[in-house]
Amino acid sequence: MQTRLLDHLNGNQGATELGIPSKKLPQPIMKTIFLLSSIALCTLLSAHAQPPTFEPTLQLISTDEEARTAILEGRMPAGYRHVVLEESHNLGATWKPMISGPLTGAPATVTFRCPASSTRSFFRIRTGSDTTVPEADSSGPEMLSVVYDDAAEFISSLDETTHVLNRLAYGASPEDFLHVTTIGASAYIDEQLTPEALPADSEDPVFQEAFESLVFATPPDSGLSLIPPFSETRYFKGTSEPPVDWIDSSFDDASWESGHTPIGYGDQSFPTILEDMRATEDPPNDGYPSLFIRQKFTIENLAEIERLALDLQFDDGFVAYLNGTEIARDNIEGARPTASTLTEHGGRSATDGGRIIDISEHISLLANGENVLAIQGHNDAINNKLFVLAPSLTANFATKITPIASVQKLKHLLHLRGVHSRRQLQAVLAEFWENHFTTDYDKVQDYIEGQNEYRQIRLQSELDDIRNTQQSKFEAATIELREYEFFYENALGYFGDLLLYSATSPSMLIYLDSVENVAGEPNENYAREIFELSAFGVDNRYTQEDIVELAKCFTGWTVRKIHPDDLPPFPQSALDPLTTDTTDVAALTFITDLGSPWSYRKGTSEPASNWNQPGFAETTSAGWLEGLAGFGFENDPNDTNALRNLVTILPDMRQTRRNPEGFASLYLRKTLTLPDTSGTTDEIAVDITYDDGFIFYLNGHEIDRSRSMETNNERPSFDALSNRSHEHNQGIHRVSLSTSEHYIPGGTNTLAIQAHQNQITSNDFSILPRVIHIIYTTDSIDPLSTDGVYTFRFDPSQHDTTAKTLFPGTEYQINIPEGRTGPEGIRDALDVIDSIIGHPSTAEFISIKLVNKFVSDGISLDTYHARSAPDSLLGLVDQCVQAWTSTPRPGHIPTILRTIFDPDFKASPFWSQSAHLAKAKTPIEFANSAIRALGGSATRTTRTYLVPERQGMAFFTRDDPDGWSELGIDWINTLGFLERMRFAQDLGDNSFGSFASWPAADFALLPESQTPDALIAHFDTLIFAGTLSPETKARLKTFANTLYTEQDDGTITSEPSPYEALRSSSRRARLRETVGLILSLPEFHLQ
Amino acid sequence: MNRRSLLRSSAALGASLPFWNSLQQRAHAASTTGNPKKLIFIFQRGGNDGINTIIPRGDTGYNTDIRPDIFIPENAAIDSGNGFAQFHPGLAPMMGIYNHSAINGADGMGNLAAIHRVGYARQSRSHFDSQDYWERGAPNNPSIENGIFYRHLEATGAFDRTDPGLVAAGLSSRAFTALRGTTPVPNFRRTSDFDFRGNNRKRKAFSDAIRSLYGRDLQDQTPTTSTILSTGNALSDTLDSLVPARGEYTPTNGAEYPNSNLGQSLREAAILLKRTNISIIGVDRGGHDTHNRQGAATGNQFDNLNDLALGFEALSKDLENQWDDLLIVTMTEFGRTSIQNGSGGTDHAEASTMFLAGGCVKGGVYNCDETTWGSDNQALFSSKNGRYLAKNTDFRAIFWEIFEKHFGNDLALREQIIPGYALANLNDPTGMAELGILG
Repeated sequence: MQTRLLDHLNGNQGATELGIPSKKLPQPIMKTIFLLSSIALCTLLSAHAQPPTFEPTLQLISTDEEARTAILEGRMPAGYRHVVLEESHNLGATWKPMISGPLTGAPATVTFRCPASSTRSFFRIRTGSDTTVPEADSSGPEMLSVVYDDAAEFISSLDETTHVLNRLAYGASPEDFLHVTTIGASAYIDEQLTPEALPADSEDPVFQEAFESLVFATPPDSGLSLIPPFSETRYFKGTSEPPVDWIDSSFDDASWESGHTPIGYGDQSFPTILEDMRATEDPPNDGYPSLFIRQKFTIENLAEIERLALDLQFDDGFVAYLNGTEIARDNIEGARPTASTLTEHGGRSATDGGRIIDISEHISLLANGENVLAIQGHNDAINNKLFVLAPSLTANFATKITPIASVQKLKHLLHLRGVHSRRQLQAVLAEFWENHFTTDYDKVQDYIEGQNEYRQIRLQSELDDIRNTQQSKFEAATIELREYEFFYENALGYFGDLLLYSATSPSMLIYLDSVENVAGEPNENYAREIFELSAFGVDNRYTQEDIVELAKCFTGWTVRKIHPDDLPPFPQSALDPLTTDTTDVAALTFITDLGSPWSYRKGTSEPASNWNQPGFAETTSAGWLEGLAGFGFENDPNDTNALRNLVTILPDMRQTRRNPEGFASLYLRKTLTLPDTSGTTDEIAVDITYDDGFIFYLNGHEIDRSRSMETNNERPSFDALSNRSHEHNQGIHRVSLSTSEHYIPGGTNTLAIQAHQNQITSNDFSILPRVIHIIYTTDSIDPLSTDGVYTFRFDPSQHDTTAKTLFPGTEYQINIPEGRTGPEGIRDALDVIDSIIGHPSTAEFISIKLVNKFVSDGISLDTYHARSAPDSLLGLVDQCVQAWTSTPRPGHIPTILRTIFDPDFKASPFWSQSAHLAKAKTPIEFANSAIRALGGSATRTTRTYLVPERQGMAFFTRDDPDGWSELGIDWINTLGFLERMRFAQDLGDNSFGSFASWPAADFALLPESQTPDALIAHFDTLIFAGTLSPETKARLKTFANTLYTEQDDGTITSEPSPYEALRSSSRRARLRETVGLILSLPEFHLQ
Repeated sequence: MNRRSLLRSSAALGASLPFWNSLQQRAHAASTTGNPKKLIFIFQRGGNDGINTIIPRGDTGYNTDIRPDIFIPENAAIDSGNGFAQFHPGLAPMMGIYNHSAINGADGMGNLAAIHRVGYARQSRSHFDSQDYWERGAPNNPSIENGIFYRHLEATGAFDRTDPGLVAAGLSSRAFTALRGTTPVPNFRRTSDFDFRGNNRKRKAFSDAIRSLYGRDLQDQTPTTSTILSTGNALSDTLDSLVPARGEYTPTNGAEYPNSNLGQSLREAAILLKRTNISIIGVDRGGHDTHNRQGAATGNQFDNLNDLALGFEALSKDLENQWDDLLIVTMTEFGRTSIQNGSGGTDHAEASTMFLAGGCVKGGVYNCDETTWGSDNQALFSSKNGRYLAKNTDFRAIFWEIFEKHFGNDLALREQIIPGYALANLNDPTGMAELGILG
């Protein structure tokens, strides 16, 4: 506690002696002492552990001894939230609270008119940053008046509705406007700060239906595939009409052509390319606008089908039928389209991952036996660049995780939630945090695709490659979705949770290279950006040395895949993370090790054709012998047979001058009973060390072969050579038996191997099979499984266990001891993250970003430190920084936001008139607020024309690690404006290409739309708080009342054609155009 | 009311002129005004690794010890002919501009300058800050608001001409800080589809309304509103200015632009340079933040540089007729660590490279030769922790050379265009020494 003599009036003798009875006072405290009629003024003292930067002063203005009233004036700098004037009659021994009242925290002058109860009164004030106002005799305005420095500029109560909806929400919708005018702006803020009391998004059927269409996806290869991708189809070119019954299951399509899907043109990877479909001038080709396809599929047991999904890639529009009944369509309207129909609008991009439609409601159309899926696809122009149809049909797909088909859908979710959620502030903050902790989907997808390829020992075909790509897109989008959903769920929680989640989120681990950051080879990427971008702000109390040290702390942080049932919940997933890998072996036992017997036959001639079949009799006369594994020879004296674990030596195999025959291959067989592992995660496999190649048969079927035999025939002959060499020490090839469809669990299995040399004169040959039983850790999962999800993993073996020091020489210095081995190593970075959360740099940086987002662009880390930003904003950030540590756990977001919004006293700069309609909107704020202003919806989930992306604001796919700017002014540019205006035109017009729409026809019936004046007045009130100038209104009215006509010579003339005189359909068209212009006004860029 | 808004009001008054006439007037005016010198700048975002771009082969410190996975062997790189430096193999397509005897036997007028070790004092290793410093031409000085090219245009009166037409543009979905200032400089991606929705009738009605709704007096407006209004005006002006630029386009001399975002932007740049009187064009290229799998003679950085080089090659053919008036310049916010990291990549560091090409460029390698590089890895490990390549030349010295020699600016404008130049000259005479790249 500090005490300071402030001032003396009339040199009263008692004052200094009096001092401040600080010992007797409870912790917070006080200000001045004033002695009526002769005087001393003492000091003030502030109340909290961390006082605001500047201290208040108090002085006597005048006294009225007749009325026994003292008029005192307090000067309150920014940061104080209450004031109490106290009186003492006994030289400060006891004090009585006389007048109290709230302060907003803004700089102010407080005037007290205090009745003094004796001629010798002492006065002091108590003040502090607590918003609870202490009790006192009086708090009325006649006793206490507060004049804030910029009091004249406070927002009028009429404008408060617009203001809170502009800032806490994505602008006003007619419904919310009414709601806020009813309950008041402060109550709305309270409501938004505690969203649990509001209906959840899922309770809104409009939201929920669209949400499901966005996030619903069938993971590839899961469930029962009725029509797999790339399967054969019958097709009919739309050069003429097909027979009318072509959609029926009974239709005979034998005369139709056949090919594999995807079918179309414009992409060389399509198995069936329709060269003649696209109209061209050179060579002359008429083309045709449509294609009809039929795909038959068989159902064996109808009763087991519970869910059904159609996954369709198409361009540009389609209608689909199941056994003759329409089940789905997109981008084409009206009755059954004819062959010559073109879609009205360009369709979707075929790279979008397709559209997946839940058609479970149509299961009743299915029958046991043969069924037919029929689809007609239509182009939007016969000369466009692409046409494609590629359906697949899946039953009983997995629904355990929330999957999302593509990142495009995820981008749409920000609009869906932004427009429809009742929890608007939470939706706005979810966008804010997503952008703050930005990650790039593309890099995540690339990483996963690489992992999948790496893990897939042998890509069977191009088709596998395509599946891999699709799976990685789906998995990457799911990772981003899970992260965004966490930010949404915790948007009004603690910053520490958000930071810790981000640090351990698979997308961040991959995006900023934590997965590459290992002991001895640190990668600084994330260590730098967690300081600069996630928490401290650039160059804000950290050094390059801190980055280097922190990078070491993060070594061993990586990702793994896991079944969703085994996924640990947050924060356990971060604090006590999994250390096991995706597939981790708990125990491995040998069913037959090296040294156990196999039948073998030298490849001196072709064996009987059924040599690899079960039941084949291995006779000596046919050359079959028994030997102990492993088999081969080694001619290098430094690398003996023994060293290579060769037991059955084949000295006559190598062709030499002395041994002119030689042989190039060896045949092995073994029949044995193998265990039943069904219901466990166990696996039965054969580990093979080899030189140079082999083919493996299980019960007569080839189930695997080495890469070195990839280009050989299906059944290479005895004298075949492998196409490349492979050395025994180049890795073990694991052939999985129990995952094969040919495996007989708990029964007798026949294993057969043919092994080949690369050259018959080669120096060595070996084949060493070992049959093994692998017991995986209980949370293991196949890395290529489509049922898994990515999660955080700490790999102690990659962790740098040396000592580290961060922030040396500051009060935040962290000393991390050496030798934190094993799972303990996770604590290195967790300790630092803990420290970061409570660090003043974090409080400053996040507070400033929130003030930028919700109040004003007018302050930055630089201008805050230089104290050159406006006082009111400096004061507000000071308060936020204080509020950051005012809760037991620092960084409680609602506490910070309550400081910013100040719903109780409405005195923070949030409420200043200069903030009202003064901040420019970012692209997403513009788009969502435009839709809301029209009472519209963002439920057209198949549209991909997302307006923020067109303005360069692509969520989830930003390359750079700093998020998009929260400063609206950064988005004011010509391209952005054109895109905004085009979007306003599309939306106003309800154009088909727009991802959003509004009930224009209903609106056309309302009184608000009957005259231009009524229309303009409606929007002036709803979104512009009545600020439109008479000139602007007049110009809008002219637009609404003017018809433009194009003359024969191309010039355009305008002539009046009053809105009200138009027939209803023309008037509705004019209404839609005028609405597009209203949303293009200069004023609509402001919030 | 400033001069530009006054012009706009008069344009609005003139709206009764037949539409086509006013366009013709604009087009005519555009062809007779302005500095004939042109500039395309390409920002390589993310921080390009200069050490593998212009390889200091003569420095024994450049080896597989410091760059095990990303070392480019001598026989895979392109020789510069100066006995010290080599080029990344991805740059092959622009070697026709470099035109050095050691490469193609034709020791002619090389028009490609490859400049190493460009940066600034107290180099920031933050993407955001450093890009900002470059674009504003004011390192470590956040108080300067406008972009460096904007200040040049402003100081040379480019915005004050009677009919400015299209003065400058950024071919990007985001506005360039380098072109930021009071008068908005437009940005767009493609000339062909940059227009309002609808048929002629709707577009005309809408654009007339937009021009008048945004055309109000800028006085008594807040800075934000003022920016909004002037940006709306700039949009209307730009749509008019782009009319002559629209339509089919076939590059000349068989020039082929790479099928990439950069290639398409450079193609647009060529269209604008041929069909309008534009002076400065900005283009972005991302993807240089190679923290992992940077690649060596092939791989990610190869793709980045090859894309750039193919773009240079296409421009040099397509704009052959304007070559003497044209300057193409690249920049990047920082270089990357001399020592590779554990992920086959490099982290943020200090100095990097710039390329200048155009008819008045004295081709050659700058700051990477036997005499200036220094012995014993001095340059390669000369900065803090032995991790960073230190700058030899401050980028502002190169920029001023461009403004002075290419655009012919008076020395008196130097401090106005590059605030702090004189002080930097005093503090760091070596860094601010001009290299004599332009004729």
